[in-house]
Amino acid sequence: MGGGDADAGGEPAAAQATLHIRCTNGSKFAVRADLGATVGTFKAIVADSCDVPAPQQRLIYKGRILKDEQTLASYGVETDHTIHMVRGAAPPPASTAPAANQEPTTAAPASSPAAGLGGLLQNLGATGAAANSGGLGLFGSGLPELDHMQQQLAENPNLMREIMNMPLMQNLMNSPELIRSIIMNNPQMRELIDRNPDLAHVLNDPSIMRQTFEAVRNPELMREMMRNTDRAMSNIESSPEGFNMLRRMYETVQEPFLNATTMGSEGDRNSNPFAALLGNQGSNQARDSAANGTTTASDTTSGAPAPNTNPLPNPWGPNAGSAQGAARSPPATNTRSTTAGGPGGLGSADFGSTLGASGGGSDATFLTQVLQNPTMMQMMQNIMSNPQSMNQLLNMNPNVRNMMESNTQMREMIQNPEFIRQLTSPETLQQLISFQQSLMSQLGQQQTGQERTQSASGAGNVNLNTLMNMFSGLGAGGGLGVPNAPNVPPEELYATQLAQLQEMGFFDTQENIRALAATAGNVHAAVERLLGNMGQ
Amino acid sequence: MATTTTQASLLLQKQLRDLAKHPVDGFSAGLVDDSNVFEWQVTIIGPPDTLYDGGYFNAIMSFPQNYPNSPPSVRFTSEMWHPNVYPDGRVCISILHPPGEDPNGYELASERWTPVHTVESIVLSIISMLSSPNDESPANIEAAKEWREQREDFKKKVRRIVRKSQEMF
Repeated sequence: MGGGDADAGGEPAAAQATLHIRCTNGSKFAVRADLGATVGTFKAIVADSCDVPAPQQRLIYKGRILKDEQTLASYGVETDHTIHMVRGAAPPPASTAPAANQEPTTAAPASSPAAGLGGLLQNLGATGAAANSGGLGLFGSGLPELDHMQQQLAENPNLMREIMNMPLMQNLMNSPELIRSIIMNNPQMRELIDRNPDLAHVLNDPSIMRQTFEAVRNPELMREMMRNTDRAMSNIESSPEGFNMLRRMYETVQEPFLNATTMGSEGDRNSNPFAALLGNQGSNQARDSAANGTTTASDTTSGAPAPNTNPLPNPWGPNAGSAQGAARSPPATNTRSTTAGGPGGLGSADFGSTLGASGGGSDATFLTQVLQNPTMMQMMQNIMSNPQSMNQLLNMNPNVRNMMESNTQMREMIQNPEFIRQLTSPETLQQLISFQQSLMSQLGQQQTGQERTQSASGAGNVNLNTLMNMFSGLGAGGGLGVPNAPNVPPEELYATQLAQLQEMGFFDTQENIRALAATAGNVHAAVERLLGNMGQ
Repeated sequence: MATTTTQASLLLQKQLRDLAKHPVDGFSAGLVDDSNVFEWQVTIIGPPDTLYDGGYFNAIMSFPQNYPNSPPSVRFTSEMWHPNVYPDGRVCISILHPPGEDPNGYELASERWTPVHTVESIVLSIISMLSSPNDESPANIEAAKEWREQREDFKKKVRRIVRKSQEMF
């Protein structure tokens, strides 16, 4: 770098400043100049260091363009500062200036389209939310009764699932004797069953009970069954004399049934250990068929341990269910649930559902009264405190023994004194009481539905619960007024049942008679039998 | 308030010294008046390989008292023809907009002003704006329309302002 010879004045060499020049092509060099010199003079000095002539030089310092007539000091130029130099337009044509390096930028204007996409996505989200709210409104306005029922089930979903999924409850479902003995403790229920033999047939069918508990456990299945029942009831009502038949069934069967369910039991009968046995024997004497004989033998076998076994399984329900965890439902049960899609299957399942709910209510009431009895409570505590006595008692019941053998964990659980103490704690009783209240609220809802129907006085617009109750009485009503003489031919004995099967769509009279004879007049069992044959 | 003023003043003076000693290609920045540190004068050299190549455009940067919490405003004092520069010379780019959500919905919140920006990053963004106009949210509708539909007319106008800026010397 030169420039020293440009100094023509008498200035001392130490007063000159070193300035840095930065060109547009990125090159950088330093020159020494007097700060008092004019910009024009300075450009001549710079021209000696690069190939740009002085007239084409454009000097920029601190955002200002340096004028030729000004001095460097007037612009505030100091030593070691940098001045930008760019090549300007020249009067004669010049060669193309070399391209400068473009510094990378931190901001990208092209990202504005991304902002637009963000807005579009927000709009899509809003549209989705609107669609969801619309759907919910449609569902709510369309089925108010179903929504209310669903809310009740949703209030205690875990409690209901735990109770239904525990092994003891599963074993109870497969044991019709226990269920019937519990229901027989209610005097009004016993009277009602005596007047309607078909109700006894429903209790004798384990598959109907299993379908009922499956529906109670699964809210989706319950909702679908209710929807199909509603459709079937509409079809029945639209046929000639259909509405009169529904009203007759309600007055004869459904109303006494609900009264029997909600009426409280007498305390002294519940505390009597032999009441169940007497009830069973009295009920069985009314039947004279071979099936009833077998039932009598089963009752006699399970009658002996009944006074001590009946109260025991239920207090363990919630904790045992939670301990066992996953549900155990056999595939056959699921298949039967699928079959319930048909009108006939729906009838039997829904009838069992109503009866199951009522039975549950009776069970809770009965259990509460038993636990409040000091003598029964003392006896239970004595049994629980002695593991050997507990084990011996459980082995006397064949069903309980089978369950104990198949599940070692269950046996160890029952023989653990601490676990037994936990079961008898107030928390467990509170859970049972809340479960009972949930069932009672459902029954109350049914009663409200009944009152609404009465106030309608013949109007066709009845609510869903009333329709379900009426349809559940369809099968039981068929047994009314039918004499039980053995000499009557099958056509006359099952005339009412045959008419019902015809209405359901089973037109083969001979096949219907065979099915009814095999099931002793149970319309629901006959329908399942007919559907099974068609399946083959 | 005094602390904020002192902080902003010190920050701007520091950035001024840094730019004087370590200049960045493409622009030169300094104070308009040595007694006011909140008014800067910037000379932007037209970026190479763009329509503005060869031009020298002067701009004034006005910094707020609460800088760097709020962005400065940039206004071209030279004649400028660009979709994102208002007819009165004000620059409209995303990083010069106040923080928060954009009421118009064109920009993301992350694109707007943040305190980490410096004079250097601001001017580099303006240089980038000269290279890549954004016609989706134009500040000068006429320029945006010309740039989109009549590119030749736009080029002629830009060449005219480039020559005019060169004659300033």
